[in-house]
Amino acid sequence: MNLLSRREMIRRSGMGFGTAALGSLLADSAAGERKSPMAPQPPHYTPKAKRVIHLFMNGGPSHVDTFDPKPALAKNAGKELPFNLPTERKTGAAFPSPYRFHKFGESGTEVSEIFPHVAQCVDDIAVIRSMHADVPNHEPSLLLMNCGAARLIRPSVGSWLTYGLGTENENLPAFVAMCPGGYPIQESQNWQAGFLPGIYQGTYVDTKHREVEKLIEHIRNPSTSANAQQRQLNLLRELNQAHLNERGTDAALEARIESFELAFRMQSEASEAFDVSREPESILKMYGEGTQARQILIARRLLQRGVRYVQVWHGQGQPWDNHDDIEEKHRKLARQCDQAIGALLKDLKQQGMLEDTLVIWGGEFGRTPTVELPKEGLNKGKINGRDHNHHGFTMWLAGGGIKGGTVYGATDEFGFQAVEKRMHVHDLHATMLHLLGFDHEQFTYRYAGRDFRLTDIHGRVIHDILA
Amino acid sequence: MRSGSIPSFALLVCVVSACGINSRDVRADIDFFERHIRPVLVEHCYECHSDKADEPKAGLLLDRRSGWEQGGDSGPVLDLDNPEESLLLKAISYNDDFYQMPPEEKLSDDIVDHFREWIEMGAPAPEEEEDESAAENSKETVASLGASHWAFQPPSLQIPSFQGELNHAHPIDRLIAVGLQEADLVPSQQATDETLVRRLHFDLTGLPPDYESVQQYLASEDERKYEQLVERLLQSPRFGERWARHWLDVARFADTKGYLFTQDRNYPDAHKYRDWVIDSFNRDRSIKEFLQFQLAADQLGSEQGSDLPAMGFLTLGRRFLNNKHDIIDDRIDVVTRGMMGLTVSCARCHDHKYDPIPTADYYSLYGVFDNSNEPGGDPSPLRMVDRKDLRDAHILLRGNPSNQGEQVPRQFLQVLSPDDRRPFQQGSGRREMALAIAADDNPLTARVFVNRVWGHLVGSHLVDTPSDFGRRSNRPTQLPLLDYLTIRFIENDWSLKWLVREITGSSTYQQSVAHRPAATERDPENRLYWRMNRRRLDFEAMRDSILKICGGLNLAEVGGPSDKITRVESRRRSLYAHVDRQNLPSLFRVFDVALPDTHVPKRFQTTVPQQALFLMNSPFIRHHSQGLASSREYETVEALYRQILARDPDPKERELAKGFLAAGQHQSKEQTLAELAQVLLLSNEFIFLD
Repeated sequence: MNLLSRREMIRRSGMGFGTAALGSLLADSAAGERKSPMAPQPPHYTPKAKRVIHLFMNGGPSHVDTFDPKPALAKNAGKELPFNLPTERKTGAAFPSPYRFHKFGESGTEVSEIFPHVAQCVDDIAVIRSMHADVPNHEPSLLLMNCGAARLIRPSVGSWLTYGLGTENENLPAFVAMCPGGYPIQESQNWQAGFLPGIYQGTYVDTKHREVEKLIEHIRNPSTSANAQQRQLNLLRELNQAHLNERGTDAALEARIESFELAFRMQSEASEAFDVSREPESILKMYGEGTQARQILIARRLLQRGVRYVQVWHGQGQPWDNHDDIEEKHRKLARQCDQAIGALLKDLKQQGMLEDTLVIWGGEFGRTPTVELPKEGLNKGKINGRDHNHHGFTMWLAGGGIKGGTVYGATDEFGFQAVEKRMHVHDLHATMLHLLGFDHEQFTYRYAGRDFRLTDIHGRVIHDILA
Repeated sequence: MRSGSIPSFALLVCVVSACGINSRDVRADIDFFERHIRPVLVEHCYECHSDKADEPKAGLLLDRRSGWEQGGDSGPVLDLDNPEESLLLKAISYNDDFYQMPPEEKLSDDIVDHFREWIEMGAPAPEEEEDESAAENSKETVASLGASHWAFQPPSLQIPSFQGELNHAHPIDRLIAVGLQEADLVPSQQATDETLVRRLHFDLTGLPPDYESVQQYLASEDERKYEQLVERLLQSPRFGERWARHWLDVARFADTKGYLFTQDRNYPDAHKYRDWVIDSFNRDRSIKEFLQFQLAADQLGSEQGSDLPAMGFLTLGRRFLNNKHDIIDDRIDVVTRGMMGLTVSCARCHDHKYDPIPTADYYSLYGVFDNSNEPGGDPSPLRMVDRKDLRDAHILLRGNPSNQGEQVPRQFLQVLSPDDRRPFQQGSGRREMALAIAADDNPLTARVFVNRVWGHLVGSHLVDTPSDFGRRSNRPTQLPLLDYLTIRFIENDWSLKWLVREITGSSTYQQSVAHRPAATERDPENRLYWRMNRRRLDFEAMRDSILKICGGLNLAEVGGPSDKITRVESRRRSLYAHVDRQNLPSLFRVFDVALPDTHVPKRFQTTVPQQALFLMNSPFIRHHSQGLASSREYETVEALYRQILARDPDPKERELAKGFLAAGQHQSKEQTLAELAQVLLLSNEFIFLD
């Protein structure tokens, strides 16, 4: 288990006295390859998935309007349900989905009409209809979904995974969080490194931009020509080499020399990776138009180049948080991303990447099957939306190690709460870590006197959705 | 992840028996269970024998004490009178005809031995309702655990004697010599004067020396020139700035409250706390008072209230969406880890797993903070005042606010209190807590501070978990050295400047960093300090140095409001950065600046290409290297070397640089000079400290 040595290495190099120890680590590694805190390393056991893309429908998509059809709502339309669970705001009578559901694929999984492209891929998807979280509020639920803890400062899933696995491509950031137009709520805490070293934090990219200079900081030097920069780096290498020769071996000095070479390569590689115009026409067409298409395609290009974890947020703030006008708004949001998500699944499959890429779709919670009652200053005059719902909601997984065509668990007949095979967010995390090759109870980091886990003291691996 | 636990357990046992206690401590037994037994049960047995399993196999539960005590469908699994006959042991040894567990693969012999030993001990395990029994954690247990750990003992002074010259050496060097001689090592030679000047400048002020001051030092024949330089740097206002930044890491300093949905997130007066820290270091305020004021300046500080900003240490934490319990937890954490090296917040939900800190102690401190308010609309917004209507806190079982246990008085930690511990008498008790923490007879506080200072000056700590001196920290190899410095530090009125003078005055500090293969082989991590550690400039020192060299650093002002230093035009030292908890500039993250979320014991140090990209391409580096090159003063290779590296180039370097300038003839001379300047700013020589 190499994590220990990585942690040791960080600890030692953290105070700058670990040069000799680092040197021996270097000597151990094959072919003189440089060990860095980002160097790839194997997890506890052979993983099913090597990389992750998390499509985050922030705000909370309604499960009864997307992947969890509830005919009982139509039968009881406008009537009080036999029970009503507490959520953030007051809700009233049963509110049937305005959309139609159809069965798709060999599995016959039902999908709402607003996701026609995703529907074509249901045989690759495991729909989990029994997700549940702890509270009906965005902030704690986002932190729970991303970091496994609702309030305290804990590393995000992506940080844990880049810490545990490193990256396959040091020329690109290992963990990328994309959100067009600005941050989601809770902002950069959603991809925080917590007590892990800062390099494991997600690198935020505002995918509203198209130019690589705006997507990645300091990727180009506008005042120095490529030739001049090459000359600079040649001179730098020569000076640094002389400096090193005078001092004998020192892995810290060598690592820094190397980092300039890496950075130089990163300039060309990142520019290339973020440039979707290099994709063939057929691919561009398959993903479609718009920001979602572009950012999901960028995500695929990054994954293809060895990036470990990409989180694709739908947009700034909380776009899926439709307390009113849900019919119109959900339809519009789904239209923005459906084609690209379907294209992503097909594209990954065509490229042979789906089998070891874990695709996750969902929000921080779902929405009530009952209609939200209007309130002054919020949704006055509207009775056509749904409130947050943490009691039960839907997420789906596809790819790396997932049993496609599966529907796991169920909510009650109205879709208010998960009742069968309940799956908590901690269980999702345990299952994700399992797919990535980690035993979630053994994958720990010593901090402030304790061994911390992503799943804290919780979490079960849900084997029923695994291939 | 639990490697190395056997030796530490063995150590614990012999320490305990050395105290004359014959029967093994209950806590140590449970510790054994937690280290060697529970992880195996979790990993190999829970899948079928816990409440996670749909139905426990053979009716046997191994996730709880009652489970193995009761046994399963085949009867008892433990035979404490004849351990070898225990079904559990036979099953995991594959010695039973019917059961061979776990079925996939036999456990290692080591693990089986641990189980045998555990059953021989009587199969100790925590009570299932351990939390509820927290308050009953007996005094004997806390006392004996306290007695068995070095850090809870008062420091003792033992300076070794030697034959001959060494006996006249600096006490630090004599103490270091003990370890070196045992390992058959000798210390390294003194570093060159150039190296020492640079080392002292960075360590004391966070800024590089200029060429002239290096030359003056080299030319001086004054025997006391080294001490004079130390003195001059200690008197510089830059000293307080540099050391304030170190303390701000401890204090998880930031200008904002973290995520809050709608409210204003800024702490508009946060800089007043920073200024108070700078000022305290510059005028060499006793560290004892420095620490006390940060906890209770409202009850200890000057009558004019000029020390009230000190309490920003408590009040400038993250606000956790205004959740009171989390705010108090953050304060308990920053106080106990930051000042005493104790991880008290581990005891929020259950008795501390390793250290003698019962949950009751956590809620005793909780009560202190629960009775301290921040008065709204106060002219001194960082302060706290005691509540009028005092109340003791209830233990919150498993940390759950809706699960109240018994009430506990506000009082100091048991392990650091006399046998007749009394509840705090005055108000919230914050003042009494402050006096108990920063006290000459607190065995932790001064040691923890001294260890931090040693780490900053020498590059590795004596106790390498600087904020955890609890039982999971290793007894430092150089404990006598830590104790010597601590005792003298206290005698010298807890003076930081005295401490810096003392350490920098030793030959140990003045050693060369030069690599010596034979010594490296014997002590690769330099735990024995046979040489100086090579260090890399942190973000603040790097940015400040570039600004200073390129003529842009504002050194006129000390203190003042926070500045958005990521703006190219910012000229303030980096410690004045406006730190937004929620949106920390990626630049800070990339260069390992301390995250302000919680207390940071020590910074990570990583080397990643994003750092190189910043130095190659950022507006900051372009602006400053071009600024330097545009000045008439720096038109020659000599001038650039002197300005950037504070030395003259050697002939080879001169030739390389000239070649570089010649190759850029097709562009403006200024541009090529700027490119050369940038290369020198990027060099390892610039960024590393020998």
